[in-house]
Amino acid sequence: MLTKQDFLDKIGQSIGDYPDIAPLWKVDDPRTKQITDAMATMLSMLSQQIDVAMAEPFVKSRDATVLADAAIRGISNEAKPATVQLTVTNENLVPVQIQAGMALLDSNGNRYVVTEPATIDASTLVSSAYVPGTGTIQAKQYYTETIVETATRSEDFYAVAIPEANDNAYISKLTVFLADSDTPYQYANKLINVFAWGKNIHG
Amino acid sequence: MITTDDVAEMVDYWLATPANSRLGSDFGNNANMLIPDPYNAEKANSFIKKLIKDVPVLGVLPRNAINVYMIEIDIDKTQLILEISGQTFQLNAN
Repeated sequence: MLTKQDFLDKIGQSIGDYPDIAPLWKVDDPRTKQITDAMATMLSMLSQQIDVAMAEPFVKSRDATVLADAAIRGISNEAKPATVQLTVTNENLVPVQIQAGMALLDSNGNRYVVTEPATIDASTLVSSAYVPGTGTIQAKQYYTETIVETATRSEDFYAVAIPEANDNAYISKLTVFLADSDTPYQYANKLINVFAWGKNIHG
Repeated sequence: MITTDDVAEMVDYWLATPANSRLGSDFGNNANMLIPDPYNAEKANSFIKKLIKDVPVLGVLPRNAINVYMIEIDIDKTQLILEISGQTFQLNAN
């Protein structure tokens, strides 16, 4: 890779061909020096990019290549939902029960689902002041999206395209059902070790 | 041969270029920095230091050859004057 200094050295070697400019350039006249400096910076940025591109067939260094390579190998991009612990205060005079599966929203509009329920005690009167009851719950940040696909033809290894989420969400779990059945399709990596006509999916 | 006109043009070029407007370099004048507090001596010195750093030719001049003045010409308007060995350069910093 050629650095900015390499290009500046090269300019310094050939500046003697221009006797009018050479003395000015040698004393760092900004009128010429700044322009050659900027060009050297641009060329070093280009050189850096070429360097990455040359290494690409051997070392997968760009995000797009890593993702494409994973897709060919049948590895899909999955995420693990974030788990959060929340402290809940209850200022009411009656206890509040928070059920598992209850959906919560934070101030950014992110959706959470309660995984560990709790009953929050009512606030109690301690020396003429109400002390709110507190408790902790756990929640996971995920939401469920249902995609309905009508099979228009009979085909082995039928492929269903899953649209990309428009809110930068990642897939954490994928389940496939037939409309008239409750049994989900079994996951089988690369569809290996399955029965003939078995109901399997592969991401 | 480097003439006085060349040096004057270098300073004009510096005054016409705001700081950080060249790729890969912090070259340029930081006159906007002087606006909030025109009477701060430290700031004026750093303005001159930046000029000498960006235009190294001026480094051979004796001490106190470069001065910066600011005149209030109207309400909320100041005239910045850069003086180098008796020659003055003007930049509106209103």
